[in-house]
Amino acid sequence: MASSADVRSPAPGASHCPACGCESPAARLLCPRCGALLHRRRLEELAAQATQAEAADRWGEAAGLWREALALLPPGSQQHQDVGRRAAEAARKAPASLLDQPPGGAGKMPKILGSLGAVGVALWKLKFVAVFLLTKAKFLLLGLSKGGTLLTMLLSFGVYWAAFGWWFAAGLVISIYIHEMGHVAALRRLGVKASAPMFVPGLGAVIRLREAPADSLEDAEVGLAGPIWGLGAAAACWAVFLATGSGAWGAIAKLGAWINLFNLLPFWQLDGARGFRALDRQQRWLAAAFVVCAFVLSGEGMLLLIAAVGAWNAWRSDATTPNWRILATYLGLIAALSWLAVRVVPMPT
Amino acid sequence: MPPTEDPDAISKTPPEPPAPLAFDRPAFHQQAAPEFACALCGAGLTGQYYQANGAPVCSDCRWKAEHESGPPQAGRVGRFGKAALYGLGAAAAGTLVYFLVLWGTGYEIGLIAILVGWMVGKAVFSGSGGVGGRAYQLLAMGLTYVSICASYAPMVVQGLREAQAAETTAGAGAPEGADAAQGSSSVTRSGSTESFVRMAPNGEPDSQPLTQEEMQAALPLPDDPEQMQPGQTYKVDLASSEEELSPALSLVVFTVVVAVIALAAPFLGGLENIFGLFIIAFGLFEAWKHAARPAILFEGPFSAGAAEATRAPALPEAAEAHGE
Repeated sequence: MASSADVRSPAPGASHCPACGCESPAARLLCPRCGALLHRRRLEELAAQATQAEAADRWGEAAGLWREALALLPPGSQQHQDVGRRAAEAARKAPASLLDQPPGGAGKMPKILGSLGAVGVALWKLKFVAVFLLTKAKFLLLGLSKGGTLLTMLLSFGVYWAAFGWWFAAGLVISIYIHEMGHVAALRRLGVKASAPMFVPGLGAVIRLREAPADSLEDAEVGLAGPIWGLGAAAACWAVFLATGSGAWGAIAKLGAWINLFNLLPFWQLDGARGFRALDRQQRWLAAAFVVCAFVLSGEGMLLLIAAVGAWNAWRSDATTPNWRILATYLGLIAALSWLAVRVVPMPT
Repeated sequence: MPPTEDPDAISKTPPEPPAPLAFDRPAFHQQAAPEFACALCGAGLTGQYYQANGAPVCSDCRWKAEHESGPPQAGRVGRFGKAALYGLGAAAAGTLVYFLVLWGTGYEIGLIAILVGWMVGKAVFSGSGGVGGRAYQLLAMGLTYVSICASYAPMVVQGLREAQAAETTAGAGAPEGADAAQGSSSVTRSGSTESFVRMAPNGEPDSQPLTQEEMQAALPLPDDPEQMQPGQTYKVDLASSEEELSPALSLVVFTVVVAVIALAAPFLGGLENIFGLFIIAFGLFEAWKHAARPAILFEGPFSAGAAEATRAPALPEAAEAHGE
């Protein structure tokens, strides 16, 4: 410990160890004297309530209780792993948010549509697409209701406008916003508490997690949700470009694809690093090899960087739990985003 | 042949209920039971103790930390020099990373500035022996800025070379001053290092205007003016009359010019480079943060509890409790 110090005032609060009576700060999880868990009673209460909720099929409630217990357990302990697993399982069994469900469920096709034959059937099926899009659109607007998100978004827009012009700045900011709302949607679905997105000019945007993901699979699902939504936004812009021929839409589609591709870099806190955490060593090497192939086929330079960092990540890793679904998602994103990022677009006027 | 398992038998077996969770003591796979002793002096803790940045310390060590705070005075110069050396190495590595990424991907990724700030901040702090402080923070920020600006150097060199080439091209074209100098026999080409003079029979410079053919047929100016012939046009090489710099000095001057322009480059773009300035600011902030003097937060006092306490069980017992 350094001998030079800036000494500050002590923090309030203390807790007593149930085993030896030693006092310690409230934020501690283990007794410094005997090593016992300081929050044993609360943990036992939470475990009992969560088990009851599971028995009653109230999976969302159970997931929340297990997560609360997770925060009181030291990471790396067997109990932390077990409770994390219970929280993740409960979260997956919990029904999706009402915002995502079509109102009124499937229902029956009205007779008037049935009389239109195949056209009527197609219209009936389109209804769900329309509802799906409308609910997602409503969810996208939800983020704009947060003052911090809106203000920082406008600030970023101003900075990018000064650098790139207004239409490009608008496309960039909206692409980043949709990417972040992808993360928010995954966090809501899993019941993980987090802040609203905050834009940081020059860096993109960040979301602060108030709870740690229950396990690496949850972390990967939340991490890759952003690029998935970002790919959707870029694809939509590309579709508009194809329909209208407007180079501006094509440019924004390419930019959106490139930004989301950059986020797949498996480094530090980027989305690719979160995705990699769910992969075992062999899968990480597979991913790096796939990215090299994508680079050879597309010539997109960013892929070389992703491959190099991915290989370094794989070399350092000792993970042994594989997840083929996450690997397939990651590789699919690499393929789709790199395809979009190398499309040739006429210079916008 | 070894007996094969009946998959139907497995599928008929109901899933085992989850093992009951025990919350008395944590079970770690690879961690020894904690020792309850002062993290600074190692003395056993009884009675009262404090917590410093999450580690238990005794009252004496806390008193010493409060009353003897401040960087150690001995070896300040050596520490700063070592920090500067470490920081310089990290800055060079950061610039190398930037150019490697540029070479490999074709992209100039400004976010590398943040990585550079982190590397330099950590290196300077390490070189300071864990002391840190304002001087080290300023050093780290300076080295980070230099590392970032070094990435502009190739662009500056290219710009200077293009400017020089443009000057040379302009000098080789039609003389700008030719029309204006119709009434004079002495012409200096714009941007050129040559001047022309024609001698009249009376030995004075001729006032008649020079034609293009006369300038092209001009002879080099002789060292002895007595050798100049009337009616002959002579060419004066202005560059030769200047004192030439030695190659080494020229290189030094050139390097200084490039360095000054590169250091100013982030600001030369004005508002158009506001995006880049933001990223540089983040990089400098990282350097500042990681070279800071560590703050020790003391909490307490806390009671150490009963004289005799049950220590945490050894690993094999904890592992057995969870069915391993």
